[in-house]
Amino acid sequence: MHVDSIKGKLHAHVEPNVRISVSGADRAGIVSSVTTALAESGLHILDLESDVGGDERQPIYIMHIEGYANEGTDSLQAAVDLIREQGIDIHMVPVDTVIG
Amino acid sequence: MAKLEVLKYPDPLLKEIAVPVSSFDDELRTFVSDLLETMMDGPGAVGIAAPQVGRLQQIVIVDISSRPKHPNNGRMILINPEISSWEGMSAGREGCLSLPDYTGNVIRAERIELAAQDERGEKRIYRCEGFEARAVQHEMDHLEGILFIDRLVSRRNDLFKRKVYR
Repeated sequence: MHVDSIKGKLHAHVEPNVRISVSGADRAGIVSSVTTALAESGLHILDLESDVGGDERQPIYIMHIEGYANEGTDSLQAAVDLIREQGIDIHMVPVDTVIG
Repeated sequence: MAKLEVLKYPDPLLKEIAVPVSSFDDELRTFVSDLLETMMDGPGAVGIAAPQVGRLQQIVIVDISSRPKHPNNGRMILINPEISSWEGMSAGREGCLSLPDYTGNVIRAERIELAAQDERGEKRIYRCEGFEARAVQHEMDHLEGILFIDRLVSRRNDLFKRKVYR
């Protein structure tokens, strides 16, 4: 075992500028297909939480992602629209934080 | 100009009530320019209130012109500000220089009208909406000793730990 020191970088934060909500019928690989497409369009994921609901016969997958759109929200919106065409319910809203 | 130290929660001064400004002199104007420099030094800050640097007077600066997609009044020096009307409600994300490790979802009025004095004591009337209205309400809360964490509906759903990255 060895121990590496890390820098805490206290108060050095990156603010998310988009929030993305995903839901749909649960299936293997849904996280991978969504996050890969978003990453290729410049999304830097800062936080991701997910849950499976519904019942055993019809499991529903729900995911919320907050992140930073490196290449702006337009190219990300195009990726979101493409994912939606695959039958996944996905919405993106901008996050703009008042700091004061 | 000099940058001032920003007090961090739980400093007790952040929970105090600020008193109105009565003399509009050079000392006040020097303080306002120091407060402005302090705000501009805060990463991404669009506002600041005097109690955040330990001065318990009704002095606020709001300037969201760095976010030009939001309608705005430019730099507003708000001394003895009073909101005269509110309209609409919406939830939005707020962070604070005095609480640097968290953000939260807070419900605020969407449109406000307010009267204030500038640093020379001249009376000003402003109409603000959306992001700018939110910033004004956030800063004016500091004059009442209220922080955004006091306005969260749910700590579990509305409070976010800010991420350290890179």
